[in-house]
Amino acid sequence: MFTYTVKRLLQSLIVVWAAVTLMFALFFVIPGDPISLKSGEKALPQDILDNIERKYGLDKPVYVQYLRFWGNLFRGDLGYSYKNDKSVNTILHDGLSTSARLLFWGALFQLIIALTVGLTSAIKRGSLGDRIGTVFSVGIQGIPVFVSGLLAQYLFGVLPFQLHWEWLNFFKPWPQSWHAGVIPGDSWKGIILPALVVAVVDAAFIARMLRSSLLEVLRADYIRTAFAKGLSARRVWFHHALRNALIPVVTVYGTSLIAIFGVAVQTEKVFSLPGMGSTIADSALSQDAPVVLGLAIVVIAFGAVVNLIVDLSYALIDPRIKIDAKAVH
Amino acid sequence: MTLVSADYLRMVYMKVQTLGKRSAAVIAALALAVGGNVVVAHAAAPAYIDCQLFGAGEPDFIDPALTSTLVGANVATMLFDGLTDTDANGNLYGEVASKWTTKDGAKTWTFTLKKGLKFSNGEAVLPSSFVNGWKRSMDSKLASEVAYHGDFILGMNAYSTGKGAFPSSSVVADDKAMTLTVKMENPTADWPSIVGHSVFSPIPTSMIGASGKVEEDGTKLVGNGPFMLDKAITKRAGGEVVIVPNPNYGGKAALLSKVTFKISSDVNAAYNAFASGQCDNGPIPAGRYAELLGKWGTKGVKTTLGTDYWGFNWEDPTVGGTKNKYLRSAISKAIDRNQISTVIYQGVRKPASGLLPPGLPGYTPGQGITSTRDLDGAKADYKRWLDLGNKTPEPIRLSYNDGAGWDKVASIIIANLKEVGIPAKLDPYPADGTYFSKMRKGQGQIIRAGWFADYPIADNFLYPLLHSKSIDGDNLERYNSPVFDALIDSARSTTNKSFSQSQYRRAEIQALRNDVVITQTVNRGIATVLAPSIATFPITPLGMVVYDQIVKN
Repeated sequence: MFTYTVKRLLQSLIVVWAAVTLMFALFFVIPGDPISLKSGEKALPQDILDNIERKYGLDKPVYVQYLRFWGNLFRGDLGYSYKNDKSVNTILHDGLSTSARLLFWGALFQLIIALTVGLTSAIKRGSLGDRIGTVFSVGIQGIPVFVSGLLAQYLFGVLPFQLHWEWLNFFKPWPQSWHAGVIPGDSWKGIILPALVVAVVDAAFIARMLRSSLLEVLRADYIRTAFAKGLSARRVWFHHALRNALIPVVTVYGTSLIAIFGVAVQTEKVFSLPGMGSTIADSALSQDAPVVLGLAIVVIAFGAVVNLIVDLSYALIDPRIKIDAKAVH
Repeated sequence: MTLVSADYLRMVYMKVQTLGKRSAAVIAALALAVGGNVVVAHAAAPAYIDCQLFGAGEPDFIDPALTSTLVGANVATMLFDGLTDTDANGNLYGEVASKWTTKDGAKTWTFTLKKGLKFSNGEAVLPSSFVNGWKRSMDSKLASEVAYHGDFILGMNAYSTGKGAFPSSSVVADDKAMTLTVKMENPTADWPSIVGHSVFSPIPTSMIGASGKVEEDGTKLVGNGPFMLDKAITKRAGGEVVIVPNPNYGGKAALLSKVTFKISSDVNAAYNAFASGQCDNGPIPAGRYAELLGKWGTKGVKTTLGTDYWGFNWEDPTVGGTKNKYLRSAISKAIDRNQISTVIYQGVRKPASGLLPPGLPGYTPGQGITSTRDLDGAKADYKRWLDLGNKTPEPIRLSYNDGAGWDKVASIIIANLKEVGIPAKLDPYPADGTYFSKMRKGQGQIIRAGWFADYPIADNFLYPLLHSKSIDGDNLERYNSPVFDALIDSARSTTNKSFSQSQYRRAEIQALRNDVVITQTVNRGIATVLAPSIATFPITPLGMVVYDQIVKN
């Protein structure tokens, strides 16, 4: 297990290096450059553009910029935004906490929704609940985040405010203070809509996955045996069936967590949350390389860590699965 | 002397309400006795939350030396007062300067400063504060995008490009006499208007040599405006910029106790935040002007000093040069500006009749070849052009940057031209920020463009947009007219205000009516929806909201 984990970590480092190098190169291939982009409707004199290039070291050859980037990275310095001169470290520090909280609540809501809908649909197969769950799963998956987000803002913000139904107004500012890192210290309503929007997209898919996986397991011989032994339905479902049905679901859930990151990016933009979402979009458009590269490192590292955790979790869920470094090799 | 808090007074007032006049008088007397000698300027001022200013993006900077955007400059002007400024009616007035004089044919200007003004940290605002501010903002190491505004000053270009020292002999402060003398590179009759730009703000000694990161710490960006930063700012979507009244402000005190600017990355989300009660004003999503202004009122609508126009590439064989004047005038007469104003901007941007916008000193209406649609005139001019043996080998391209709604404007114009028989087509350029640099190289045929005033003077439109020295810069049409240049040059070199305005007017006619090198469409405006509690919402023609004069009930 230890050797395997170390090897996977090393692989992840190589992936991060390759991806960041590729992205670094892309910034010099795509048309335009971040400094001349500063000239919009009004042209900036070349002398001014030269000043800005010198300030960010963009007047140096590409390989010098590349080596300097990695040199600074090893010292923990991700550079400064071309757009507003803000430290990328600060941007990441500020943004990561918000994104992490949104991801936490989104993932939690997703799990609750997926388990509830999936279990209900499987156990009460063919019932009204199952049918509603199916419609919900299919319907919600097709709605883009920017639509569901704005719709949620209208239904649970604008409309209740106009009708003076403040109790239903869940469109509130993102909390400013937190307990234990993730519990809102104020404006708890502020997390509900963004987290739900993040959650529902893949929750529907996971719920369908859990339903079909459970139905398959419930047809297995050992489940029939368990019922024949006189075990209660609840014990059979939750102790024997659910545990086995969760293996494929966990795989999907792990992948989904990475996908959630993408959904969270859009959600942060739609809800204007101070996370990394809008920063990624804005920085990419304005070719703000230091910010994009800094964020890329985080996103790629996040993906690698999640994949590793998912692989390791198989062994915890099903003791029959053993991770063998040699086999992996 | 004790200052009684607003909460304390509110509590006393509530007691008055509940106990009746006699008891109230006793309580009030006791309250005053406990409070000591009371100084109360006014009742508790309301706080204000703005979702509009940064409703669709983050500011670049709010540091006056660095900001190059209207939204950033709006906050900067609340934090810093310059020598002069423009009021909500477009009138120039002395802000820190009490008066100014000129000599040497507008090549030397002397400003006399008001005495007793202070920065928010208590330091006096002196002529040397301006020298310090300009030294910082024009420093090549600071690399400000707006440092080039200093090029009007003799020798400043060498300093701002790192090729020379600060031109101390051109900017001379006399702190005893409270005068600041500035020597210009060329005669600059409009200097008092230009020096109102935020890049010419003063700084206290604590900010000498400060980097651009100074604004990230609320205690370090110290200004002399009606407000001061409340805390370190978070210039991120979802973040806030909070300003509070400057206790040392020498002018009229702000009527609000706090202004919070909420930063959003999405205009729809920002509007929804307003409509769900989170803010006092909010932006209007595209296409909803008529609906939302009808619902919330039009107090937040103002025509500003900006004009949208389409330019003809002067070097293009089909539309450029003197030989194609009739085609250009046909196109100009064919455009239905009213349709663009009502359909696209729902009346917020008004049909323009010239390049210079209403409200600009020296503005004269009707300077363009036409301000209303003249279909018959367009057909006649097009026929004349064809009769001269000209033809359009392929549809004329209307170039624009994609993703900003210009395709809708271009589509209207193409439909307008079709009625005249002029073939035209859309020519979108990717929304990657490279559109203007490509147009500057002469790639366009009919070019979508626009301009917003840096300072309220005619020269700020006519020189950068149409003078031959601006080719490769903002003269996207690559217009090169000795007649036009001569008119502008003569206007710039005189201190006779009426003569210079007359020359600018003639130059505008030369470009728009005689040469028809550009055709104006609409004048720009800004619009915001306001909560019913907002009684007064002043906006200057430069598009700056005067937050210190907002009245909230």
